[in-house]
Amino acid sequence: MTDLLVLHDLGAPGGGEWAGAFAGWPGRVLAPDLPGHNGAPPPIGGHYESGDAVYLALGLLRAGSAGDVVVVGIGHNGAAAQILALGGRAVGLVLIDGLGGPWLGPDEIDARAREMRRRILTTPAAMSEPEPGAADPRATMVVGAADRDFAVRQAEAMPVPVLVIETPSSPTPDTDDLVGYFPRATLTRTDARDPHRVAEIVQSWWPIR
Amino acid sequence: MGDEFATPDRATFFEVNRTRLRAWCWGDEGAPPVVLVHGAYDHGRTWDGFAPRLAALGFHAVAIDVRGHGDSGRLSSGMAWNACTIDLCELARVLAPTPDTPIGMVGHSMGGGQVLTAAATMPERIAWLVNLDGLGPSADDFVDGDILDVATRCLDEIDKFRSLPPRPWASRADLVERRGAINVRLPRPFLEHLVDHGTREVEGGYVWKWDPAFRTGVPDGFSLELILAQYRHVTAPTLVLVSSEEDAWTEVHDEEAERRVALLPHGRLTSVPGAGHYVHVEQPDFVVDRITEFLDEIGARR
Repeated sequence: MTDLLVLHDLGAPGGGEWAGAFAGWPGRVLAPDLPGHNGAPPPIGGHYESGDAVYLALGLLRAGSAGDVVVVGIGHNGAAAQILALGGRAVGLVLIDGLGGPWLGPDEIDARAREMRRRILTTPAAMSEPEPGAADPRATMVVGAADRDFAVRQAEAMPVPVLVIETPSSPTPDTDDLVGYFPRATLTRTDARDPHRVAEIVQSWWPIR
Repeated sequence: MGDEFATPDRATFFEVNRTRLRAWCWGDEGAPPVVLVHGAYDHGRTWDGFAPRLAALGFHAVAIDVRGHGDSGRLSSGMAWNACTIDLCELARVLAPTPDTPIGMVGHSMGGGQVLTAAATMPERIAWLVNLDGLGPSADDFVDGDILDVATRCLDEIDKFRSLPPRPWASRADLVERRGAINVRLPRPFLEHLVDHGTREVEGGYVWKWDPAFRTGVPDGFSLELILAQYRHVTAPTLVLVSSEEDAWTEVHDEEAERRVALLPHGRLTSVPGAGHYVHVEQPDFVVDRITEFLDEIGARR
C-alpha cells in the first residue's frame, strides 16, 4: 500500500481540504497543516524558510514508519516535494503548479530577497509574535524557487515518476520545456486548483502500470 | 579552565524579530553603537579580547550570540540566513533608533557575510562595516555535486539531528582538543575561552551550545553569484581584512578577494600578515590599528 503525503501551498487554508479530497486513496493520507497555517504553530524562532515543509514531512514520515510514499507538492511547496523525492523519500511525485518560477537571474533573485527582508522589517505583524491560532501574516513571506538552472538540475536527476498538473495559476512560464527534462513525467492541465478534480487526476495516474 | 580574557561590562538580551539575542556589551552605552557578529559555531564571548579595544576607540560595542548560537534563540529549519539578517537589521534599529544615529557592524567569517547582507538590506541605516575574513566560500566550494547524493545526505542529516541528541564530550578539555585539531592556529587560551563559554553541561558530559539544527539545510540553488549580487548594494564604507595564511575555514584571499571587494562600492581590502582565519585573534594589534585608521578616515570616531 502506498501512502500519500500532501504539502499544501503557502497561504492556503491548510491540509484539511486535501485530506478530504483524497479520502478514496487506498493508503494513508498525510496532509498536515504546515507551520503558521490553520492554527498550526509557527516554526521555532518565528521565521519561515522554503525548507520548513521538508523538515515537517521528514518528522511525519519517521513518526509514521511510512513505507512507500507518493509526495504531492502544491505551489511553493513543489520545491519541498522535489527535494524529498530526490533524497529518496518518495516513490512518486506530484507537482501541482509546483515547478517553480518565474525564472530570475542572480541580481533579480537578490533584489527579491532584499525586498522580502525589508517587507518583513516594515510589517509590524510580521515582526511581533503571532496570535495563537490565528493565521500568521509572515507565513507567506518566503522567496520562492526562481533559479531555472537549479530547476533543470533537479528535473534531470529525478529518480521517480512525476505527474505535473498545471492550472492557470501556475507561475512557471515554460512548463512544456521544463517537463521534458524529467526522465519520466506526465503533464496534465486543468482549469482550476480544485482539490477534488486534482485528486481524480492523481488517482487515475497512480499506480503506474 | 583558566581564563585570561576580560569580562564584558554588561550582559543582556534583546527581543528582536521573534527571537531572543544574547548580547555582551562593552563601553559607554551612550556612545555610537557597533554590533559584533561572530562566525559559525562560535559565540559572542569570542570577542572578549577584541571588543574592549573597540570600545576604547569611543564605541558602545555589542557582541551578540547569533540566532542558533550561544544563549540566543533556537532554529527551526536550518541555519536561517534571512532570519539572522533581519535580526541584525532590527537590532540596529533598536540600538540606533533614529536614522541619524550612525551604527557600525563588525563581522567575522560567517558573521562577516551577515553584516554585508544586513547592510545591503538596510543601507540607509548602517554607517560602516568591518569584515574579518568573511567574503564567503571560495568558488571551488560551489562546484555542483550529484544532486541526488546532496539531497539524500541533507535529509539524512536532518533525520539524524531530530532523532539523536548531540553527542556529549567527556570533558571541556576534550572539546578544546577537538576544536584545536580543527583550528590549529588558534592559541590555547583562546580555545579554552571559546569552550568555557560555548558549551553546557549535560548528562554524560558537555555539548556545544550551538543548535544542532544549524548544521542542517536543504539544497536551494544557493550560489556564488547570489552572494556577489548583493555587494553592489552595500553602500557603507567597508574595510575587509583577510587572512594571508592557509587555515581551516579560511575564506578567499589574493586575487579572488580583490575581485569581490571591487564589487563593494566603498570597499577597501587589506591582507593581514601572519594570520589565518581568525585574523583578529592572531594579529590583534595589526587589526585594531587598521580599523582605527579606517574609522578615522571616514570620520566615524567621535
